[in-house]
Amino acid sequence: MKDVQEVIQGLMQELRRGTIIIGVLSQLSEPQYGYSLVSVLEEKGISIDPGTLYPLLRRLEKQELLESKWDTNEARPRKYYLLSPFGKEVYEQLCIEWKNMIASVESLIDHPGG
Amino acid sequence: MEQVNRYIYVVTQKLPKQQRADIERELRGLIEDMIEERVMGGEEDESAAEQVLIELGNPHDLAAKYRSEPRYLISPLLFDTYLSVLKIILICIVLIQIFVFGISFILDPTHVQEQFNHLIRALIFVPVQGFAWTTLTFAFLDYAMRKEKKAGIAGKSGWHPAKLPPIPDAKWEIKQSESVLGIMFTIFFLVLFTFSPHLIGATVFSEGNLKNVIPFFNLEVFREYLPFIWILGLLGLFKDTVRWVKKSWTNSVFLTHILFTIISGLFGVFMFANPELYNAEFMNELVVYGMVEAGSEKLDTLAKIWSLAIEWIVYLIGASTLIEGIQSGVKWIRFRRSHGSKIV
Repeated sequence: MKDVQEVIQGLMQELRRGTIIIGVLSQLSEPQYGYSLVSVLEEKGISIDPGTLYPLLRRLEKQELLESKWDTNEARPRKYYLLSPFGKEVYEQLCIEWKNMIASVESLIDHPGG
Repeated sequence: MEQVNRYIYVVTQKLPKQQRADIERELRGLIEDMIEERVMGGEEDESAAEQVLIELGNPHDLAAKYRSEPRYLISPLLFDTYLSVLKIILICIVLIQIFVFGISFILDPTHVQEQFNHLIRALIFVPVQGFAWTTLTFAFLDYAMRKEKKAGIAGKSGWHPAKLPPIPDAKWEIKQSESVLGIMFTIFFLVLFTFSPHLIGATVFSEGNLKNVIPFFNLEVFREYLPFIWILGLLGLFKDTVRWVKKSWTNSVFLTHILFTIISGLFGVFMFANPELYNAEFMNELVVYGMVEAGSEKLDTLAKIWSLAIEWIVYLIGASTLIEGIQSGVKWIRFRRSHGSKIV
């Protein structure tokens, strides 16, 4: 017998993978560095491991959704990320898609077939 | 902080150079932030650093997340075929080595220690060669196929159901056994020519036992041809691998097949037309081993046959190349007629 919890864990991980990008984009209308973003998301109930977030930030930057700037004035140099104008547009569209998807999935759950 | 440095080194060392410094700096900042948070203004020590590194997880996994797409020498596209071809090649190589060892042992049981050492050396050295060449061939094939696929996706027209290749006609199917046989054949001769050209010759029996082999070839001259034989052998392996992968006649299979036929035919004619290639002492050795008596009529006849054979083998190779070439050419023309000339 497979363990229910184990299967749910695996499926949740897949679900979370898609939502993390929305979560990250949502918090970057103000510049943030990686670790501060981890704390902000944590506070809002989205936990993300820094080892996942840091590579993700770089990938989003490469896709030109984010811009970045090193701040070397502080004691510790930090790389700040900010939503680019292009990223902003993508994020807004993505939110609409997300809401549609939620509506569809909810209607599926509320009116199961069969 | 020594552990932190080592951790960062492991993560960044395999990443592209232009990103390395930036990732290193960012990662160091993160680790320092995390340590600071853990000790809450107290003394920073090694155990806090260790805790943080454990939390960040295996550095190889982290490095993998920084790399954007998986990279392959041989991608899943061809990996299964690669494994089965590799298996056949390695099995062939080992069997042939043992076979050669057996023959040389029967011929000369007194040098068994030497022969055995030779076998062990060959069993170490030759499979490595086989492995390397198979892998190289497949890496190249894989690269070409992925490029083709990428071009198909990126191309303006892209993929379309109308462009799907037709299901191969049973008539144009290449049996897997045919390609496998070709590969085994090539490997057999490569190994034989490389390690035991002295076994290609007339066998001398005495009292029903194999006593000796009188080589047809002058082994020194024969060895000079070895590099070319190897190039040809590898071309042959490439040709059969293409046939194996495509599983049916296509334009590229026809092309490689005809090219290989012509090149190997020309090389064969060139090589066997060299009178120095043959063992000049062949007839004398026949006499020495008591196969024929010196001065007998039988010897005269044999000598005539020997010189005729040397002459005719060149014609034979030339003629069979010509016939095979023309046959394949005609077959290719028929193939193109029945498929239209678009399919590559």
